[in-house]
Amino acid sequence: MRNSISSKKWRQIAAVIVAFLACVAIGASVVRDSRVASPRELTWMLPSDLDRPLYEGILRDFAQAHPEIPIKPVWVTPGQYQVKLRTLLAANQAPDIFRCGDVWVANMLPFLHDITPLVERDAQQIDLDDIYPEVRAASCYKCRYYFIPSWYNVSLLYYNKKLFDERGVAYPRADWTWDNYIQAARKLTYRRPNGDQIWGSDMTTGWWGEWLIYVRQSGGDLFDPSVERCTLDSPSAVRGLEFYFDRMSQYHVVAPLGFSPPNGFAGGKIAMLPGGHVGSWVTYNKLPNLDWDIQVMPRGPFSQKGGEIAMDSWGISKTCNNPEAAWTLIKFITSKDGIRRQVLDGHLSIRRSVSAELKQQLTSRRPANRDASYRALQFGQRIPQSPDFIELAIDIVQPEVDLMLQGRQSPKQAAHKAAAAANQFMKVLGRSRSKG
Amino acid sequence: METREKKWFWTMAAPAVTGFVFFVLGPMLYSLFLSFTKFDVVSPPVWIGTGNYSYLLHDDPAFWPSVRVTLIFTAVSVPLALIIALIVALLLNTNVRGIGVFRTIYYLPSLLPSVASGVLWVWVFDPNVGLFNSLLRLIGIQGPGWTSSVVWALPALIIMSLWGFGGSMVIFLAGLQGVSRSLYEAASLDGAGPWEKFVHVTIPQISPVIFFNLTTGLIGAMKVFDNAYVFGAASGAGPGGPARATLFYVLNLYQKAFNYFHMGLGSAMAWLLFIAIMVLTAINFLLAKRWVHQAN
Repeated sequence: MRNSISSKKWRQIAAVIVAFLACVAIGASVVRDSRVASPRELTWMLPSDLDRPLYEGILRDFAQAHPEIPIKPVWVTPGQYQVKLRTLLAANQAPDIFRCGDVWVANMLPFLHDITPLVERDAQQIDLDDIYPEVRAASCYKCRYYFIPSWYNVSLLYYNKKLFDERGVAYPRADWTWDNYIQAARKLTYRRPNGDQIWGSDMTTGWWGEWLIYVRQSGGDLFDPSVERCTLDSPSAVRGLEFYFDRMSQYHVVAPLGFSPPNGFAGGKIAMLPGGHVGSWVTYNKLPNLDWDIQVMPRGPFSQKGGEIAMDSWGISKTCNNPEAAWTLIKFITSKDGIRRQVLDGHLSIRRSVSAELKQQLTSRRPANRDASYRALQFGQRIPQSPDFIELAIDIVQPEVDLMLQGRQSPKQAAHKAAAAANQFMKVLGRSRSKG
Repeated sequence: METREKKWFWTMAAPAVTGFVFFVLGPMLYSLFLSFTKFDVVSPPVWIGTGNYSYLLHDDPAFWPSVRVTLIFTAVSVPLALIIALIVALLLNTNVRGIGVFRTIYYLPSLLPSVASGVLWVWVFDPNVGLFNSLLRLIGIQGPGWTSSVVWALPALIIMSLWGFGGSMVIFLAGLQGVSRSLYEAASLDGAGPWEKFVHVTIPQISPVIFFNLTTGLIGAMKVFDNAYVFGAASGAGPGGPARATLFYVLNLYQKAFNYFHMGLGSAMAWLLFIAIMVLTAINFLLAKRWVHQAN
């Protein structure tokens, strides 16, 4: 062809392409070098929340104790922690140490370093027997260790003492049943002379945090023990969902959907918060007008068991090139000294010795009934250890629960539709199934 | 083309062509391959044939609701945004003193990052203390729970999307300024009033601009992600909540691929979306022959 490109010109074009690719490669390596820690430095992904001063103190002390292990903190907005972490994991840019409790461990297993040999080797040094047995049990996944907790969350009944006093209602007791809770909530739902609406109870929406407690306390569960079948459609489980829903639709002790007072329980216009989260203690204690305390969850028709026990823990990335150094940091955080400073910051102790040691020192702090949080451990249950649990609970089951709360279907319909969809998911896509 | 010209053409085009091949076409073809596999980022992809497509179309409880949400949003928000942008562009195409300031004011919202405007709008829609319901209370109406209601959450997002009409408005304004004055003068001589001039002169003359804004608007609406993500996160309804009322297609894709590491499913969803957008755009181009004014 007369106009075809000569071989010389092809060479010129090829030279331009090669030069362009070389520029891209150099640019990419420069960008990468500026973001990634040096080979000796460990990256630690931390939430930049009210605990930031606590972690900054830990970082300072660790740098003094272990100058040979430089740590590069990566601060992330707490609400974006999981999003950021998952994006980094997908991009093969995982931080060396990251937050990973029992809720996520099954799902994140492919990215987690198995620290069982390190735990077994240093068992005496880390004094495993000092950790509450329930916490220790909840820290294992299929008898292996992938994370070490620094504090834990357990479902509790939070209550506003000022509102109880205002209505002359006796504070919640450890032997309360659902009926006692509803009776109190009814008395505590009222309108003040100034027009402020006070609600007897709060309702946790958008995730399993509260309704799963009632499902379990009714004798049901979300899954069978082998996590191969969704059992939310059992009569017991439906009874739990009904109780969750009836508080709004029948007893009218919680605000209509979407109209909960601003800031919820912390706003001071809700008398009781079932479930809750111990991570909120730090916030509650910064509110001088919020006089609050805790009690174990009221007993359901089947059992008092059913509250969630969840670990707030630290794991090591599988791609970490110095797991031994990362393990040294985790031991530092979860040592008695480390746990002591976290408890003084407002968290729950995973160590019995620290709880006993600080008992007197903490009597003047809220919550006064701190023992309830340790007693609640015996009623706590872990969420099912399945890599699909969060997807099933949030994306498959929760939309049906949402529709129930909107009054568009009954608890029974919601339970049956959710179970059918979840079972279909597990049949086709699930990673949980061990067989057929 | 002359040989010398050809040489320079290929030399100058080479970086863009290389970039396209390596950074667009390559990843696209790889994602096409992944769409036929089960892939969780860590383990090697496992070939499952059309399993992902079959699951999406027949078993996934979130797929069709996300298609429905996206189609409703597209059908309502795109025409509304075009009409508002055109009306504002007509108003700003006048010789009023300080018109530059008005143009800037109307364009400014589209410069605001979508995350920031999303957070702002969630406050506007807050059922208790939000601006909308506070205004409704002033006239004795109890507004809905915008962010928590399956009925009102999507309309809230549609209203929110209209905020960013500035981009289309600027393009309309440019189109309006390109309409020849002589056509309006000729129409006046024929006795046409303002409405006749608008219908028979302005609309045909700016029809290529309307077509452009319509096409890009449709493609943009099919790919909505950031506003929906922020809405779910800031309102507490969760991604796509409540009850999948704001589960847009791309948000569903993101959840599957990056939250739960079903990269195969995510890739299959991306290819279905790509095909849908291609078909929609092709139909749009075919229909354009009937109503878009061609100068020649």
